[in-house]
Amino acid sequence: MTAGVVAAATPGDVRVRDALRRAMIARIATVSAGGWPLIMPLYFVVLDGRIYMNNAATSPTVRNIAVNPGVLVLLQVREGEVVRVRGTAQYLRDAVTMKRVTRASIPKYMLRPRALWFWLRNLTRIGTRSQYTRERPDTGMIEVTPESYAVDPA
Amino acid sequence: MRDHARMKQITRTVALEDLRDLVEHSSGGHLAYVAEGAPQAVRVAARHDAGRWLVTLPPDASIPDGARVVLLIDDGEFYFELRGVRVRGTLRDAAGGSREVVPEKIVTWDYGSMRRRTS
Repeated sequence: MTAGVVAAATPGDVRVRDALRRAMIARIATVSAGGWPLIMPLYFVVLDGRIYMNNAATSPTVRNIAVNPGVLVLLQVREGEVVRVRGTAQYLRDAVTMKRVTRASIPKYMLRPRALWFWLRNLTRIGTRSQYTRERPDTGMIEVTPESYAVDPA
Repeated sequence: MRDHARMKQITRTVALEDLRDLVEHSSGGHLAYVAEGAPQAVRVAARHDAGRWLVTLPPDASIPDGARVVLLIDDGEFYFELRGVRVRGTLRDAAGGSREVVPEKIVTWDYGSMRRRTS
């Protein structure tokens, strides 16, 4: 099976750097113990060259990486062009990592002007969201260490 | 008897019907599959039409008939805009050069419709 015509890229490639910095959603593809594929959209941040995504310990993605740590992460900034990051994932629950990732998430998902405006418009929903989060306390971080990059052209 | 104290009260699950505008007029989706034991994914044209999940693969993607796949159609950038559907199934040839994901399991979500469960 082939995945289409892609061009290998380096971490310094402007398209890779742009996607890591500006994409809002990472779609992470994993494989289950039974050989089923899975792909999930998640928020993410990049720290020290690694990609971090918050996810519940019971999620199917986390269960998959426990048995098959090889993952593929797709990032898209503009229509058509997709940056593909292949790497190895592990699930972390230590307080230091979670604090670092949470801090890095705030400017990206809360403080940029469009985000601020979004949260202001949705102030009445924050209580529901808070309860949703409290009901799911078993959360941690998927950490992806990139091994290769590629770009699907637009 | 349900243990209401432990059952999650807030849900983001919606009926597929509630995502009709997303799945019937989608600008595309992602199709995940497994190749040589590794996860693969391609961007596909995808739509839900008369109960069928139809996808058009990029020209150079080669996924055999009968392959296990997961189709993801989602959109949104900020929290309450996030919504989507995930269709796990088998890829089959369809008419006109399209392929079809014959579903085994469908999962839907819409964070904008997050609400307390009624039962």
